[in-house]
Amino acid sequence: MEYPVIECRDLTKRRGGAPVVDRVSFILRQGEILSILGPSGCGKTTMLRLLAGFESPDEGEISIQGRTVSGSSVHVSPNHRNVGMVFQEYALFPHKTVAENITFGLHKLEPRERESRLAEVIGLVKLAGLEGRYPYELSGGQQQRVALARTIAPRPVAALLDEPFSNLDPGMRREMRLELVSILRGNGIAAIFVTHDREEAFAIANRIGVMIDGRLEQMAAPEVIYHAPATPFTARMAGTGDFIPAEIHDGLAVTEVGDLPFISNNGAIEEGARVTLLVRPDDFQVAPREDGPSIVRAREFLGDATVLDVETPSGAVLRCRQPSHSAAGLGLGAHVALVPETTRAFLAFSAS
Amino acid sequence: MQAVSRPLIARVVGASSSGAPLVVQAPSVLVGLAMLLPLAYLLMRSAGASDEAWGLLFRAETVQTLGRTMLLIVTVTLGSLALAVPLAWLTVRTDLPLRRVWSALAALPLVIPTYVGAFLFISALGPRGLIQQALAPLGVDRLPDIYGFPGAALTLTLFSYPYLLLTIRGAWSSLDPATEDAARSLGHGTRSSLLRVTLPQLRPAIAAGSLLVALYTLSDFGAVSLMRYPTFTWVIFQQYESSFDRSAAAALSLVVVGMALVILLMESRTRGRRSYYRTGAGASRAPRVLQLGRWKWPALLLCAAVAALSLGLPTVVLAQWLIRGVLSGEPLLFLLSATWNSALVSGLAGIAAAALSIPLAALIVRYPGYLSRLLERVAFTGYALPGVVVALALVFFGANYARPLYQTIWLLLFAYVVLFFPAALGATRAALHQVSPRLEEAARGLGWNPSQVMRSITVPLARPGVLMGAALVFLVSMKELPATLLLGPLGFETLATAVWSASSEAFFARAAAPALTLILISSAPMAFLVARERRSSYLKAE
Repeated sequence: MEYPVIECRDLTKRRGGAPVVDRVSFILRQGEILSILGPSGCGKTTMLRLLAGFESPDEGEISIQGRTVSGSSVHVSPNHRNVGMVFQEYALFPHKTVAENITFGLHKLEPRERESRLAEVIGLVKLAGLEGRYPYELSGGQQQRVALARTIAPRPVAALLDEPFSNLDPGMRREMRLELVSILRGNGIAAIFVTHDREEAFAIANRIGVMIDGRLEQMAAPEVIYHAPATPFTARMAGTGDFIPAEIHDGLAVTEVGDLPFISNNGAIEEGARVTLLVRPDDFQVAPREDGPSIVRAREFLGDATVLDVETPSGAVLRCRQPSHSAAGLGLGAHVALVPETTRAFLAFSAS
Repeated sequence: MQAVSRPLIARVVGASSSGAPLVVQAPSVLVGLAMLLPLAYLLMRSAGASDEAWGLLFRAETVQTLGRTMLLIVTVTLGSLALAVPLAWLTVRTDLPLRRVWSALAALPLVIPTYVGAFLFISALGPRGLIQQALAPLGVDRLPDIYGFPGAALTLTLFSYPYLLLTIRGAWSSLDPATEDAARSLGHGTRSSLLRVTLPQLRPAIAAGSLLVALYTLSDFGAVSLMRYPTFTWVIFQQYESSFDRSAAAALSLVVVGMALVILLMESRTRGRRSYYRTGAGASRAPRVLQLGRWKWPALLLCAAVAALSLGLPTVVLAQWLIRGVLSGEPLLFLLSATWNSALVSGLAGIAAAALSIPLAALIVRYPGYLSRLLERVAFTGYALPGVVVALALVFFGANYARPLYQTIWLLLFAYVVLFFPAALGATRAALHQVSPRLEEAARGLGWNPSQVMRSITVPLARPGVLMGAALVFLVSMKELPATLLLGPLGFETLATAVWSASSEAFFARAAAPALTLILISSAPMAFLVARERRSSYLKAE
């Protein structure tokens, strides 16, 4: 087992009485990349700022490498924590060159060591030749690399990344993401990565923590978050999905679109119980049929797929991702059925 | 690395992780207290005023002075609006020929102190003035009387409208042109979108600029005294000079403070509660330039007329007096010492105000709260207090409590800083607003402590704004007259006092050389400010 780098216990921060971070506890281990996934305003950035020491918690404790840095009678200032932070807007110093930005945190090193660390980091982020440039002379992707280089140069015990890709154009994002992961993993740097983009979280993290209203709803491996979310909220954060009502009979969940195999997120479910079933857009086939019983309410052609919103007889609307050439037409009748040979079990949330 | 026990440290340095460090808080509080000193002393002094002095206050004459002062303020403010709004529009948004030139010329009258303007107008337009003499062969032996209200209003309007112009122009060039485009796409024509979208958005700037002009008019001493239009400042000055009971002057000063408060209140009412910020993050594009077409000619005529009256006429008259002065052997040597005195005190005031503005601006921008709001208000009292009032308070204070400072340039310096601190604070505050707190946090996260971050990140990034504040304070201190007259040590002659003492006795030829020197020296920071205005708008257009 790798040793803990950062540990939070019951971390709470209030603003005007209401908690923005609410009893959050977790452990970040050596070399691990943790994603905090949540909608904007859920408290994830505040949590990072608490870890970095820019704010102090109202309750709870933070320890870094076993040493308490925030607690009831302790506040270690940010400059004494040795955690790096990559800001959403990069926060590069506009009056300093690339080299000066990167070496800014190396002020305690000997000049010779500083130079060699600079060269090393510059190589790592592939910025060789740009040392003398000023931030405004760089592209978005290059600025991102400088920000990353500046953060990892002083060899922090952990890197905190606040939506670092949100200012890049989509084409650039995947490339930078792959690079970031390889740099972090290659150098064994533990990282906490805050995002509202589930794809990013899935692609990068060893573990994902889903956050809502300041609470950590669930923290688990990406596969678990997607396939076995503990709560409907986590399910929705982890992927597009709809919830349909079902009744349990003979080991199947009986719904208006068919009898489906299910697993429970919460122990055994008794016969005849009413549950809510999580369905994903690629679970159903939609075939055009004049006499319904369902109706296509919206149709979006996306190139590689066509997404239909289908209203079932009960009035529920299912989002169904269909092959690009789907023949189901807007406003016309359709028949919804489970995609043949589905082996997956649907997740049933029993009412609680 | 050391863990710090927070409550203990917090008690010692008066700071918590979210509160301001002592290096920011302590100087800010001291600055605030210093700003309050003149007003507090004035209140004390008036409280102890004799019944006789109070009797002086409640006289018909006081009401008349009040009426004259208000009439002048309203007229000058409206006149400045009538000049500044069209000139701002023409120089920012139209294809006016020689736009750049007019743009610079329109701001230039700011370097001419109103008392210089006043003596030049008197000597040109007054009875037996240059114009009348020139027209004498045509049988004109009398011009409309320049003395009194018309002269004071004309002078103050022509030399203070640039305050309004610069404020409006700054706001106009930072307006999001997309809102105007949106109005046009919603079917509003050029005029309609100007009136219904653009001008309403400029309302805070118009209100703020009008405030500057109104407060300036209230505080002006030089022009009204040369034009012999007794507003409060002149009455207070005379009361002080001529009477033994100086509490009466203190009591009258309180009336002026009251008027300033009313003006401030009106401005904040006008500004309203609507938000005027750009809401989106959309990139700003260069604004549309309106084709003037045949309206070009009246537009040019307006620009030329304003420039001729506010710059051309004064220049010609000044040149003429200068030549006469030199030819008649007016002494020029005193110029050296007067220039040195002016530059010294104003330079020190600029440096002091700019340096003192840094901690307070940091407190206001980075640690908003009850204390910073209070100190911000207090620091802006200088805006509202006329020089005469502050000087008077400091004369009383110096004579009674600070004898060693009385009759030294240090008390004068103190007056300049109190009067003009808001200009420095405004510039520094704006510069600090541009420095993202994320930058400071990034530096903290990289292992630097607060004072190192201040030195290596905050101050270098805010430097242009701080320098601009220093330049502004230098500019206005150079021109300052009443406080210099009241507080300058005996025999301490500055360019301002030299101009005034000569021109108040109608020795115009003697006033010309120091006036010209004054204008030339104050043009340097003005050029710096105009260059900055252009550069920032250039950056925006990129």
